[in-house]
Amino acid sequence: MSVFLRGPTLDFGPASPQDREAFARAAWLAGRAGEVLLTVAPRGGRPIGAASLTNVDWRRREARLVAWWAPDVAASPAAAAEVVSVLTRYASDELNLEALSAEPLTRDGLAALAAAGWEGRTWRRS
Amino acid sequence: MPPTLRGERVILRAISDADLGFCHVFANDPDLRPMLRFELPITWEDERAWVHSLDELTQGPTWLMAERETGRPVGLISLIEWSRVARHAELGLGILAAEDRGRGFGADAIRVALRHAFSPEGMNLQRVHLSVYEHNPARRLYERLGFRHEGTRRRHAYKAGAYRDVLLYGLQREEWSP
Repeated sequence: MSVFLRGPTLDFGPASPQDREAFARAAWLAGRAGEVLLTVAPRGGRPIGAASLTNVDWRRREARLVAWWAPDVAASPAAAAEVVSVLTRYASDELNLEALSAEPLTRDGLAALAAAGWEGRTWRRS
Repeated sequence: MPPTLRGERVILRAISDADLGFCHVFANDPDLRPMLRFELPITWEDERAWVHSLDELTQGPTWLMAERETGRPVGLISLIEWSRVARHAELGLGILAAEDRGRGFGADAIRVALRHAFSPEGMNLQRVHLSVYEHNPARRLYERLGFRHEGTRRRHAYKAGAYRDVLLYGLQREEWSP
């Protein structure tokens, strides 16, 4: 698998059009698989989820972060925080974005944002 | 299709569908990306379309750089933006694996590519130019091979968390010593 971003335990790979279609079928993600869509996999393993930067506004330099685990995957809070942390660093250091937002659907999602240094549902470059 | 060229350590050959896996890893590699012009993930389909779009006659040659002894792919090198009238082209290259850098593959590949670039039987160019990010250690290799610093685009790129200068280098055929 081609690796686009490397976290401490997770690999992030470029999603294929088939991946994009599959993720888009997840109702809550419909229409949110944005400009950057990456599969998320344990190091050297098969994808267990996806992460996306969507609604990228290049002029205002902000985007929305969306992450999704496959239905049969029970991801650890640490893995969720790693996804947020890696995507935040990519948005900041490689895309030169200033702000990110997210709409976590669970308390665990909100905790993952906090663990990655977000304030509530937003991250802003310090 | 570009000609196969042989150096002391590398062979430069045309890219085929069999090289798609290597090219896809190359295009997305997070360690190489700070040195290249890519920022967004590149899908397999994008990469295949790129490989199929390669056209030496309209763009200039792009080669796969393979280790001469084993045939193992180590990188890519190109002479693109080929101007037939002004007789120039832009050199670009990358070596994928960190352990393959500093082993002379890049220097050998550039020498072979320049021989082709300036040879009357090759591209017969007057000039080869390139641009490199200020933080890319390969700039010293370019200088060692005779490229002259011609200018700087100040804070032109955003790479690895900061605005970076882009250094412009050029080499005239009269300045090149094979």
